[in-house]
Amino acid sequence: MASPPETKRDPEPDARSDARRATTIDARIDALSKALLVALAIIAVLTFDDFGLTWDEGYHIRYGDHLLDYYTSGFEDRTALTYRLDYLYGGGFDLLGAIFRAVARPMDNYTALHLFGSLIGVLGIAGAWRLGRAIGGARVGLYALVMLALTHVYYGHMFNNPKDLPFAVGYVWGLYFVCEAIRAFPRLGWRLVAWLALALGMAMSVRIAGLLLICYLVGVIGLWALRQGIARRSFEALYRHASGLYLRAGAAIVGAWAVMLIFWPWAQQKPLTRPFVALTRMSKFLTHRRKMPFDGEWIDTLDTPPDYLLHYFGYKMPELILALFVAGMLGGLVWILARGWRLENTKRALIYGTLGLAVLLPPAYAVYKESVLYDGLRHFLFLIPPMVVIAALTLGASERWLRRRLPRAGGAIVGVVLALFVADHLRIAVVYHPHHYVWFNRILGGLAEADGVYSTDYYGETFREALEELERELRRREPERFADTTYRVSGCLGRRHVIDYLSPNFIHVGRNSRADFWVGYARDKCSRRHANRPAIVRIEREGGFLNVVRDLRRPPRRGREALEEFAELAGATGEGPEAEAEAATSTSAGLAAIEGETTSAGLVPIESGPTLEGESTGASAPAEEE
Amino acid sequence: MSETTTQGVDAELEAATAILGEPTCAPALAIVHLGRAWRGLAALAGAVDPDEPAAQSALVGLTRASARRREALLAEHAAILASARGDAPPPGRRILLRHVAALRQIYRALRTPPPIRTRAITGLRWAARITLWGGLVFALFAAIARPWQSPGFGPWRVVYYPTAKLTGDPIVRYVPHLSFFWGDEAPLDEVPADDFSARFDTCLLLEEDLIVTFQLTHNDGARLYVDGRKIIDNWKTGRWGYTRRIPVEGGWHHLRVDYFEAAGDAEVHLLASFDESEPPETIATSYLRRPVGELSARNPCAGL
Repeated sequence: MASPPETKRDPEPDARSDARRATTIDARIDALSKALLVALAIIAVLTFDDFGLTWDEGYHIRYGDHLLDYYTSGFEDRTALTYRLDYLYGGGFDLLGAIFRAVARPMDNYTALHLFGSLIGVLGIAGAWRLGRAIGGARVGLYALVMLALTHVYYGHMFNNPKDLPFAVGYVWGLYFVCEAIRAFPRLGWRLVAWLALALGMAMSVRIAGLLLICYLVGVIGLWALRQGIARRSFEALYRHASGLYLRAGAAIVGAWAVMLIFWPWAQQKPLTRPFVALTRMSKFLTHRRKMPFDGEWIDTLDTPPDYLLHYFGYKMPELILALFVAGMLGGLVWILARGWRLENTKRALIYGTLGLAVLLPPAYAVYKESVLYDGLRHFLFLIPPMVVIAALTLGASERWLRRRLPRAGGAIVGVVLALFVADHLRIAVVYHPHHYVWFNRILGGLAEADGVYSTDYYGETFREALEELERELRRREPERFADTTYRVSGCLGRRHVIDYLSPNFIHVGRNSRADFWVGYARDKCSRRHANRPAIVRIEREGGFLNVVRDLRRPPRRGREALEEFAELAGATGEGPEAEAEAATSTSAGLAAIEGETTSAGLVPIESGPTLEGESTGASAPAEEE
Repeated sequence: MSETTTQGVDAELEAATAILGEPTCAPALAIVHLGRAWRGLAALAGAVDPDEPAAQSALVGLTRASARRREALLAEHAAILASARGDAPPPGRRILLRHVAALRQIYRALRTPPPIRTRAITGLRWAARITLWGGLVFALFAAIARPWQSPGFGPWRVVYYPTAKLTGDPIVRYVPHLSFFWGDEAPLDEVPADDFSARFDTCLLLEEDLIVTFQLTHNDGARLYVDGRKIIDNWKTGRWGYTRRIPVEGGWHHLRVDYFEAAGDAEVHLLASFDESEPPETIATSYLRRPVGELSARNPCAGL
C-alpha cells in the first residue's frame, strides 16, 4: 500500500502548513545552491586556462610523478621518499593530480593541474556550503557558498596553488564531518565514521597540520562526555559516553591514518613516528629567509611581528565578510558564555566552539611558536572557509533577528545587502581576472595602496599576462622583426614561463646575461631593476602595480622621465632612486636564413627579412644553454 | 502531551533517540515514546485507529523500504507493543534505533508535500537523470579509453626513432600541432630522453598562391622540406631558429620536418604565416590533412 489512509481530520493545519512551507523553501534554496555549484564548476572549467604558473607547481608536479612511480614500480622507485622537502608533505593532491594528468594527456601537465585544482577548489566551496547548511540551515549554506566563491584570495588560489588550497578544502570538509559527529552525539554511526576517516585522512595527506582536526574531534568528545557526567553527577555516565564515542572516533582516526599513509610513502616507512617528525620540522620551517614588505617596512621573514596575519586577514577579506565574522565571533563567544553551559545547548556550543577554535588556534599557535611567515596569508588559506561559514551564520542570525522585528522589510534588507555584495565582488572578480588573489579590500585602500606596502603578487601569477602582452606588443610594433628575431627574456620569472607563454622565438636567459627584455614583478623589488629603461608592458589592476616588462634594447633614459617612472614604481615605500642602470646591449640576434634553391614546385627562395639593430643576416643564432 | 501535533511526534522521536543514544539509559525506556510516536503519525495521516493493521501498513508504506523490510518493520512494531504490555522482552538497542529511523522517514514523508508531477516535469526529471548518469558513464569510459591519446588524433604524423639517426623501430603517433618542448624528458616511454629522432609529416592545403613564412625553432638539429625540397637545413646540436619566406602555389603540399635530439633540452616548433603582414604562428589544423600511404612513401600527400 503506497498511500496513507484517507484523511479524516487535520488536527494542526497551521503548524503542518508552516512546516511544509519551510521544507519547500529549504528544498528550493538547496536546489539553488546546487545550481550555483554547477555554475561555478562550469565557470572554473571555462576559465582555468587563463591562470598563470606559480612557483610551487613544478615541484608538486614532479613530486606527484615520483609518487606515481613509487606505486607503478612496485615500490622500487623511491625518489618520492627523498624529493626536496616535499617528502615531508603527504601527496594527497599531488598523487591524485598525477593520475588526473595521466588521464588528461596530451593536455600539458600544468594546464591539467590547473583544471584539477579548480575542481578541487569548487569542492572546497561545496564543503563550506555543507558546513554552513549543517549548522545554520539551507539559507546559511547558500550564504556561505556565495561568500566563499566571492572571496578573491580563495578563488584566485583555486587554480594554481597545489598545497595551501587543497589543504583548505580538506580542512573545511574535515570540520564539516566533525560538526556532523557532534550533531550525532552520543552515537557515531559507522557511515559517519567512514566519512570522518576519509575527510580527516585526506586533509592530513596534504599537510600534516590536518592533525588539528583529530585534536578537535578528540577534544569535543571529551567535553561532551564531561558535560554529560556533570549533568548526571555520575562518573559512570562520563565513562560510558567517553568510551562509546572514543571507540568509534578511534576507528575513524585509524582509518584517517591509513588514508593519509596511502598518499605518503615517506611516512609509510615509520607510520607512527614520521608524521610527527614532519610536524616538528614544519613548525620550525627556516628556509625562505628573505626580506618582504609589511606595513610599509621591509622585514625579515624569520622575524615577523605578531600581528602579521591580522593585517593580511584584515586587508584581504571582503569587508562584509570581515564585519560579519568579527560580529559572529563576539556574538558566539557571548552566547557560549551565557547559554552554552546549559545541557540542551551542549551540541550547539561545541559546534560554535569548534568552529571558532578552528579559526583562532592555528594563527595563535603560529604566533606562539614564532613561525616563519611570508607570502601574505597563503599558508593560512585554510582558515578562510570556516571564517566565511561564521560570517554566513552571522548573516543568517541577523536575518532572523530582522525578520522578527521587521516582518515585512527584514528579509528584503538582507537581500539588498547580499545583492550589493554580490554585484560589487562580481565586478571586482571580472576586473582582477585572472589575478583574483592580489586583491586588497577598501579598508586598506585597494591594491593601489598595498603596492610596496604588503606582498601582492608573491606567487608570480602575473608573469603570464606580462609575457603574452609583450608578444602582442612586439607583433604589433615590429611584425617584420618579430618573424626573424630571437628575443632574449630575463627577469625574476622562470624558464617555464617563457616556454609556455611565448612563441619559440623567445628564449629565457639568466638575470646576469645580456637580454632584450626584463620582466619584473612586485616581489623582491624586482620591478625596480632597469628602472631607467622604458616600460613596454605594464600590468595593473585598479591602479595597483603588478608587473612590468622593460625594453633593454633601448638606451637608458635620463633625467626627469626616468625618475618620475621610478618614483611611481617605488610606490608607498618611499625609497629613493636606486636605479641599477645596467648598460644592456641590444642583443636580439637575427634568425639566420639559408640560401634556398630554385625549385620547380612553385618554391622560390626569398631572403629573410632584416634583423634587429641592423645586424647582418647569415649568422645563425645559437641560443639557450642546455 | 498533544499526541497528534507535528511537534509532538518530533519530540517523541527525539526523546526515543536521546534514550537510545544515552549509554547510561536502559533501551526499554524508549518504547513508550515509540508507541506515542506511532500513534501521532497515524493521527497525522488521518487514521482513526492507529492499531488497525491497514493503517499500520499504510504508514509503513511511506518508507522507502523494501517489501521484506516493511514486513520486518511491522513485526518490530508488534514486538514493541507486546513489550509495552509486558508480554515480551524489549527488543535490543539496535532494533529500536532502526525503528526510530523508519519512523523518521514516515514523519518526513507526511510533512513533505507531495511533489507536483505533471508529465512534462516527470519527463524533464528523467531527461536530467539520464543526462547526468549518461554523462558520468561517458566520462568514465572516456577516462579509461582515452581516445585523445590514441595514435589516431591530429593531422601531423610523427614517427619516433630510438636513435638520433632516424633509424631503429619506428613508433607512429598523430598530433594536432608541431610544437613540442620536451625539456630533458623523453617524448614517449619507448624512446630515450637523449639520442632520439623524429620525422613529422603532414599535408598542407592552400586555396590560392601565397607567400608563406615558415619559422623552425629546434634543439637539437632539424630540417624542413616542402614537397621534398629542403628549405631549412640545420642538422647540428644546439638551439636554433630559422625563418624562410617562400611562394607556394595553391593546392596540396607535403611538409616534412626531420629532427634529432642529442643531449640536454629537446624542443621543436614549426610556425607559419600565410599573410605577409602577420608573424608566424602554429599552423591551424584546418589547413592540414593527415598523410596517407606507407611511411616510406615519397609523397604521402599524392593520394589527396
